[in-house]
Amino acid sequence: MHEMSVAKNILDIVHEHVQSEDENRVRSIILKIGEMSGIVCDSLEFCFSSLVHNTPLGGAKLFIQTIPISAECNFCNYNSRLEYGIFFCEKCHSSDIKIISGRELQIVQIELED
Amino acid sequence: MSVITIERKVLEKNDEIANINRTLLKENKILTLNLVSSPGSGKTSILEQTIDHLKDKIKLSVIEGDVQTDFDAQRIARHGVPVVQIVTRGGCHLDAPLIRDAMVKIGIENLDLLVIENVGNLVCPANYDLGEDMKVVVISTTEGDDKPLKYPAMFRNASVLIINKVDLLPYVNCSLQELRKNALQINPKLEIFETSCTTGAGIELWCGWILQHLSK
Repeated sequence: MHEMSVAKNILDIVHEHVQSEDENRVRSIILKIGEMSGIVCDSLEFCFSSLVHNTPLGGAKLFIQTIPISAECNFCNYNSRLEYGIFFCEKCHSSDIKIISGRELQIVQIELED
Repeated sequence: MSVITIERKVLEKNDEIANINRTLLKENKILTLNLVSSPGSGKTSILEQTIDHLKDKIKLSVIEGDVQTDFDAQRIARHGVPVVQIVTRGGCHLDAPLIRDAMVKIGIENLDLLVIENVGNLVCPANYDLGEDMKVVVISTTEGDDKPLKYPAMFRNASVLIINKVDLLPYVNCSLQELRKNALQINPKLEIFETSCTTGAGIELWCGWILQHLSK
């Protein structure tokens, strides 16, 4: 259950970008989270809302954009969309593949009310 | 509505410190292994046997991670090697700042091998870079042969798999062949060892592999 420490990291980054007098204007924090990042999105939202409860950031919500797992085959160069836990090329079934997305854990944007 | 676009990695602070740890360890030519597994797979027992095999040949130190108690550090200290215990007090994984602080405490001068025993957990430690050379995942035969399929991130991110407690195979519902097949399906590059800390099987091979990698 490392979502609490991830939520704390998100808050630290928000604090670096938003002046304290503007914190009550933060409405949403847009995140990109890969299917392979090991994050349970519901837990992350719960941890985040617990941390900001009764603080100036209490009105802020997380918006999570889930990024699917994709990989490029080192053998035939085909790009596959992978199910979590199945790591081989859809086309030639080679297991010699390079994961190109699905590990993201990024803050993309912070939206503030005018 | 105004928008601040930032595109920052949430764990960037951890990753920055992991890179500092990695640079420091590389400069000192230290092989660093991050031992990960579920609780009770036998990480500490493997470590004790590894220390007994290697302590007269190389200089090694251990960083122990646990949610509570310093029991494991006490066990390691009895084998006469430097050890630092990190108690996470509920935290489910070790992170790079914890390792940086432990490296300062333990001292890494003239060290050949640093082993980090992570908190017993097959989920969270998969996602934290500590600055190690590689993750070594341990699984015991008592856990069943389907663990790699159930916890793919950990097996995908590891370089070595140690299958421990092979002496119990006649008594448990676990097929070694199936376990190997499942692990290699997740990560075909895994180097696999089979060990028993009760009989000592496989420990010499594993220690030989460490010695080979030290000289690289």
